Amino acid sequence: MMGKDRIVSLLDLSPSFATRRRGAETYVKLLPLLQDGPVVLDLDGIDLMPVSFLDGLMLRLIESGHSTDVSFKTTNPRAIDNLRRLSGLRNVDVFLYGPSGRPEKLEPRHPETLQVHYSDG
Amino acid sequence: MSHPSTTLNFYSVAELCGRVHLDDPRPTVDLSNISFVEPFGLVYLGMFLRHFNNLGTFFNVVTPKSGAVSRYLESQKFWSRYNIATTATDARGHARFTSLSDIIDIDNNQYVADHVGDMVQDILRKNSVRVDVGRVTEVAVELVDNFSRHSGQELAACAVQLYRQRGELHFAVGDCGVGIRSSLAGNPLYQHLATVPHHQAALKALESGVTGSSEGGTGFETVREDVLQLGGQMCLCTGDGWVIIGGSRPGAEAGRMNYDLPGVQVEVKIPVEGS
Repeated sequence: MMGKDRIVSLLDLSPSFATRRRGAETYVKLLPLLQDGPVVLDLDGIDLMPVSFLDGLMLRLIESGHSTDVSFKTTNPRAIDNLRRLSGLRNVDVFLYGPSGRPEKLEPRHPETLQVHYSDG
Repeated sequence: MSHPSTTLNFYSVAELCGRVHLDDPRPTVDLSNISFVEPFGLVYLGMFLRHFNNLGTFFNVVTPKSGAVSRYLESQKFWSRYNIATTATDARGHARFTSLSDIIDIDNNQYVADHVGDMVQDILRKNSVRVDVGRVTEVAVELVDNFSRHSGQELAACAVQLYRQRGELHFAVGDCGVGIRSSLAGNPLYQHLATVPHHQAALKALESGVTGSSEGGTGFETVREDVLQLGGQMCLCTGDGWVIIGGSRPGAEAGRMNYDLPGVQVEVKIPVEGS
């Protein structure tokens, strides 16, 4: 990933980042860019980007063998947390393009196991 | 689940629907003692009426004695949107949130979750509601996207209510579609859930990566995590199953109730700062 810091604003790839469908659509726009090498996706300016969007994008990147060709640039704590959740969910390495100018692997976060109490009524 | 109350909410609405004599040619829904309505109650009642309307049953409604509730339901055109002798497709009424006390109809199209997300974000910001707007909007988007992807229905109801004095924001989504159990059982991995109680299927759907589709399984898991992080609560009904997250006990509470309504009806309650 190093040496080619092609930073692409995600805002240029989709009008919305709300859903899995939008993630899949974004992948279609992103794929031609990946033919020329790794890409840093800049998430700045995006208010709303649930895990489902990221998952819709990442599953396709995994399928096409491009999952390590994409890193993410953001300082938004919620976006970073969602990327960590994605990493835990899909057991995939997710890279954050940090202040060092290098992609750094995010620590995956796994959801807590749900403790269940059953009720009779 | 039995909480005698004159508030139409998660705890009372299914019991009220269960008291309706559906064998009558024109059954009666008695709301006379309802003095307060919450989004979950409205969405559930709306879906109850719509489900039976779709089967050709229409209801006599005893309207609430409470003038405030009656006026609110009139202002929402509730009775001309539910319990009407037309197809569900014709029942579309309000399509946009105009206030933080609204119930709207949402059409199932591929971008309905984007649309509702934009509306929720806009109305929370315009009204300076002191919540984590981004996270609350993500919760709303995930719930609406679940309806869109899994219900098999064309139309759902969506309600929002800000209780300033109580310091709570409620957001509810309901459909009368296939429900969680049938949806999950459509995935060969979860075929075995076709015969389990509804609440067990609902609990399974809250686990990470579990979906009725070829991909997904992030929606409910995101909602349950976000609701807990926000210090809120999620109440869900599907069939005769119910689940509460963030209630009086840690984790999830689940059980069965006496009424079995198709589809999924869910409400999140989020604390609002400084109200």
